[in-house]
Amino acid sequence: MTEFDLEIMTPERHFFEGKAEGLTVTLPDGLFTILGGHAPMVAALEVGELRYKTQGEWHECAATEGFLEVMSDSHVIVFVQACENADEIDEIRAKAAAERAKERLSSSESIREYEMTRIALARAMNRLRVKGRSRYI
Amino acid sequence: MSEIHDIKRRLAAVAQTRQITNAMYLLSSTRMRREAERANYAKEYFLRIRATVKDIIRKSQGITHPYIEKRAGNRAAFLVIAGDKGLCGTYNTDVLKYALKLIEEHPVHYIETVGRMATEFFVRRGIYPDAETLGAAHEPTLYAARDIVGNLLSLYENGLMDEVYIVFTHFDSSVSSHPYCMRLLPLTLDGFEDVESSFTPTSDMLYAPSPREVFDCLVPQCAVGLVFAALVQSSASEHSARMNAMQSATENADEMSEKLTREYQSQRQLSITNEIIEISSGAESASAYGREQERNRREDSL
Repeated sequence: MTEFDLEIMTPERHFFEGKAEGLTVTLPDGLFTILGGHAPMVAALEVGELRYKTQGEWHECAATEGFLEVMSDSHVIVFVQACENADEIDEIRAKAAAERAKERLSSSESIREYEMTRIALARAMNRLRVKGRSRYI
Repeated sequence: MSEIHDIKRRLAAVAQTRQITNAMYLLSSTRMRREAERANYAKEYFLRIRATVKDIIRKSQGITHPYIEKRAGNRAAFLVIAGDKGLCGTYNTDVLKYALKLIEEHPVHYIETVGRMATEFFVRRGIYPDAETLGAAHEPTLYAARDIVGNLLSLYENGLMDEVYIVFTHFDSSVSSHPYCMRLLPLTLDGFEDVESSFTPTSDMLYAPSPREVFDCLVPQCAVGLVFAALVQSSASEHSARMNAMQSATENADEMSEKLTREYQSQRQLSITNEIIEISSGAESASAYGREQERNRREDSL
């Protein structure tokens, strides 16, 4: 399998940098996997799971909105607002955030507020989903 | 005598001020040490995200999207980032004067400030900021960055403003930083002249899911990242400016107290010398008087 250089950056930390064999991200229309030698591409990322394969092993994390660019020299760079491994996710905090967002969703007073709450809920649910799945691995 | 008292009082005042400046120096240098890593990362992130976006825009010349097209007007929204507190050298005035100059070039403007010093600066000049984000100067958070970007984007999207700028302090290293202005919207190539990116021309760029959706998502995301990085860099620059200012203030206090001590000693010596002269001349005259008495007594007894 062809390897490519993968970088995942969030505003707060350099989440990952190194060789990867595959990368799966969540696009608005579903999951999308990138392998080595991919054509140049830009993609918009939704809140959702992000998986990358290094040294034959898949790693799963919870990512938020962002974008990625596949550069022509098989270099992939991902910019997301936050990215966490399953063991870094604070389940209690995510649950509380989900509850708060659910309550606020019905009482939103503007489209912008509704949209922000919707994304907050998606982030919390995504964290819980990734955390929940890691138990069975 | 009163002069010596004055010097003593001034010495005590200088010592007290030195204690305060030294404490502030220690405080900001500890914070600086803690934040240096974060600030350096923010600097790198800022550069990388801009290089990537530049690359994407250069490859997307045929695409039309409101976020990447220049508008005819000159109405501009400014996000100005300064500190909450003073006593940090020229940090606040540098960035604020720079911002004021830019704002004056745009007769129709919208100003959003971060940091109390920024708000006060504009109010003093009769310009009332339209929005203020509290607390973000002291403790930059992604939440604050999202909020700011949401506000600025809606101004741009609703056609109220033609351009959006951020003015902040770029963190170079722990001893130097400089005011910096960048255009957040629209993202066009001329806003990226200071960024290097490895450009390899490609004819067919893929957009997933579609060019429109990519730029709908990419531009706000990039803006959030840039604003957050700007907040972190500004706060690190503030700490380093305060650290340097307080260090030189402490050094000045040391120098001053040394000078005052020397003056105090020489005054003290002078007063002692005067006293000795008084005593010795008194003793002299006393003994002269005594000798006269003795002679008189002797003459009487003769």
